Amino acid sequence: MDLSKYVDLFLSEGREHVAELSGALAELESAPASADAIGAAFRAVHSIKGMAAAMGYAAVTERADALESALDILRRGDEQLTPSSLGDLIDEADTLAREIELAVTVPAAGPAGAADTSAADASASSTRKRAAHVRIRASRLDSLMNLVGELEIARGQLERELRNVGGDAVSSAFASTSRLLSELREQVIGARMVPVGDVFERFPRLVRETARSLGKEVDFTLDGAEIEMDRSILDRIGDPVMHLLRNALDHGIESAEERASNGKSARGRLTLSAQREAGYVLIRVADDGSGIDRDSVLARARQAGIVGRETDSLDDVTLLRVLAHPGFSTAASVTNISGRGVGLDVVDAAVRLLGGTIEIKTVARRGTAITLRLPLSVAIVRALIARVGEELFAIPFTHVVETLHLTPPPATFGGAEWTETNIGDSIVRVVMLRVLFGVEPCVTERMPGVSVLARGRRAALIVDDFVGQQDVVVKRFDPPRGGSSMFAGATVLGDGSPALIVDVNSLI
Amino acid sequence: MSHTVLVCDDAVFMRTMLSDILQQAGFTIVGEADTGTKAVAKYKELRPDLVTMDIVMPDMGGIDAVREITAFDPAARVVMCSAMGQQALVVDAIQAGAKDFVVKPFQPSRVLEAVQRVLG
Repeated sequence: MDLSKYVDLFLSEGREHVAELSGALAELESAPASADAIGAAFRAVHSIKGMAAAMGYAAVTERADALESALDILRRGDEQLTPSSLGDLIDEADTLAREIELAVTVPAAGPAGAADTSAADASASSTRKRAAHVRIRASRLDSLMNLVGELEIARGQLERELRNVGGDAVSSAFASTSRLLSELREQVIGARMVPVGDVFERFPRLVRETARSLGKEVDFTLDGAEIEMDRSILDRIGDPVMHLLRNALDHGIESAEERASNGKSARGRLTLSAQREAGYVLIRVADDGSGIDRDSVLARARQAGIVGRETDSLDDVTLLRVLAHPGFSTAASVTNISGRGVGLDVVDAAVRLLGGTIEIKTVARRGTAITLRLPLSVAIVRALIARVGEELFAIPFTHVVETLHLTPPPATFGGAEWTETNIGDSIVRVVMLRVLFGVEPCVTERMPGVSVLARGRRAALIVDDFVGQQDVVVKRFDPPRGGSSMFAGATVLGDGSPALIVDVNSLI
Repeated sequence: MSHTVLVCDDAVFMRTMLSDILQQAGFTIVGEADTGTKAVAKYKELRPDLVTMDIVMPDMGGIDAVREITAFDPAARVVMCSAMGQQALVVDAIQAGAKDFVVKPFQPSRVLEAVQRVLG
């Protein structure tokens, strides 16, 4: 059976079904229990599956089958739709749409028994095209990354041993091995990189739908969709970014009337941008709305005991600390839009877990910008290695501003874990890592420290001395039950000794 | 005289492909329907020798449509044509009055075999 004459029909009708699916999923945004919408989504996916199977498009068929199963569970009422499972469905639908477009550009053999010679010819001529992409399980990439990490550790040990051996031939062989290993690492990290657009491309529609349901007029811009980052990080910031967008639409951007009376254009502006900066990716959600009402946040924060009575204004840093306080919400009434989502505390926690930081800038009547600073890769971070007592600790460079020597403030001589002092014209928290880590305190006149920045706040961590800096392979572990850990993970250094990775966020 | 067929499926693509298979084998496609409701109405109007019926369709599903068609005409000959994953519904379909069941993706030979057996 010659399937080629059905390709156009498959594509055009497949696109229609994708549109129906998108429409149904958008409806589920505002009415998560709508049986009609779930049914429509299910039928659209089911049709796509049948058509794809008939055409022999295995990838599309598999995708559609998985999505159909997920929708069927909802259809039977075995599970309820949650915002995050809806997000997953939208992602799956986007992928399905891409698979459909991809399938028709790469001729495939027909279903078993239906392929004829022309299909076979077509598939032979497309071999080169298909070889350009290979699907790899993410777990396999993780194993590769792990192995590269272990290799780095072995390289460090080898380097140590070679110091005692010497010889030009040996050191030149070692140098080229090191160089190749660095290249290998870059390649493996690169293989995990995907453009942020893969996850962000569903946001324009989401913003449109949300704005419509709020009765607001908004121009949405997505910048830097081509910026690449580690897939595992990207996957985990989708929900936080969605929450920030919803917050901006719900609480940030004013109604058209209110904007007009403030002399603004009727249409609000919302921008989601991604940008590379050194070893990081900055994800920024910026709106030109009303800005965060510091006074009302302050009042609530005082009430909740998050800030003391003496605090009479909130700078950006304190504001973020208050907003990120678990459970804090400024919504006067819990609206349908952001009330059901996660709070800024959850965004903050998600970003911290990835080794990132969050910054906020807000100006009354001008708008708010929230920036997530995220590492390019979760697997390897550049860190400063410091000694505290007998142990070595890694402090990720994400947070390091500079190293310094300072005279610890008097309070620390009494054995305090931390205190505050003036450095230059700002008040900085001084953290005595020895005390914090349960090592016998030892305070001298002049101590080495590292100035760090996290969540917009400066702090100085006092250590015993610095050992060096290196790329460390992060081995994550779960924080202890019921409490946040001071450590973001562990690593093994070049000499084979273990080191804990300090979670700077938790110290500030 | 060739047999007449009513093809019911919500996808144009599927109707086209099925019609092609059947026409090449000498059948006459007398009508198409994209919902269960239309399938029942067209059956009553056209009285075809054979109906191919998809299961998942908007408005009224294929199984309910078969039930209505066989209630109207106990001698109606209906072959279910549905995508894989719906095999669990074979029993339902047969109880509703379908005579055979073909799973997508179709192999033309399998479709024709089922159709001819039903018309047998």
